[in-house]
Amino acid sequence: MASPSGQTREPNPGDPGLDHLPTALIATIMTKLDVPSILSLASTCMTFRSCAAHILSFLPNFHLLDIAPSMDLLRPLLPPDNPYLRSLKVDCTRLDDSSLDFLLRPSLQELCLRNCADFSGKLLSQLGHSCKDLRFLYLSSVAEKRTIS
Amino acid sequence: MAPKNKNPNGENVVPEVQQKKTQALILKSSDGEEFSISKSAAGLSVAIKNMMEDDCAGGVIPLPLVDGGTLARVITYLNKHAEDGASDEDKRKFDEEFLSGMEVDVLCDVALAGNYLDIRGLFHDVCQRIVNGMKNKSVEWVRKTFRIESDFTAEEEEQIKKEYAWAWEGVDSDAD
Repeated sequence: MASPSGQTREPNPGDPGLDHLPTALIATIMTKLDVPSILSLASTCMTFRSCAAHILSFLPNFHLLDIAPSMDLLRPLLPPDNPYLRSLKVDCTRLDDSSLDFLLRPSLQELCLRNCADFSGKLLSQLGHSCKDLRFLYLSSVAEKRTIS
Repeated sequence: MAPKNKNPNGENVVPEVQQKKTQALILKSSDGEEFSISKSAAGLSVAIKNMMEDDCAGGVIPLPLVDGGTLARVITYLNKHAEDGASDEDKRKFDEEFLSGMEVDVLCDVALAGNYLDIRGLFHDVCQRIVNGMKNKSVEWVRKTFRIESDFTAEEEEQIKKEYAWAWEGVDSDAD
């Protein structure tokens, strides 16, 4: 971190770093970060890695719109048993109807799915069925690839 | 001296109005340093306020989890925030300067103290400052800045890089 003069002090090996904080405190800090930054931090050391895994299991807001994740990428980031997940925002360019059970959770109050071209009308019917508590919904490009028969 | 200004032991008692302003507590750090602080400033800490209300404070409050250097900083913060006539703008400026010069180890100590003493504004600001230092930064930058030592094996490191490579695409340049 830069000091007011703009120079960074050489790290002193004796000084404890951030990984020495109690995990509850690390968790508090991590919950304030966006998803990519949580993963960045998770890549620094074991403490943060296990902390990130823990955080993802109770994160209330999961917003990932910078990239279009595949199901394989999304699965470990969105544990299915997170009862606190209220807001989900995902770019669905690489997702289709097979992800619906995974995405549409009863705890959701806010849902934003971008680029849903590969979803069918099943998206809407399952939405109404699964997400009874929803207050905000944003969908874009739904079923754009569906051909008119 | 009017009798009402004497307590049962015959000692002088400061009139109540004046007493409220001058009443002080002693906070004792883990390394035995003692700091005097007004009750109004100390009361900004929910933990200390509870101790005062339960009357288990007895004038000296030992804080075995906060060292002298950190406690001095925390008291500076509390005094500013309890200051008569300090505007919100003054306090905001003070907060910014207060945190901006801190090294990582000091930030950690202040975060711990803010959490332990339940000083919400301070705790929130310190966490936010740490968070701002992490957003959109490369793994190496975060490691160096926050003095985090990697304890991954070379294989694990390689695996993580593959798994999460997308997460740090487009991060700020490390030179910043």
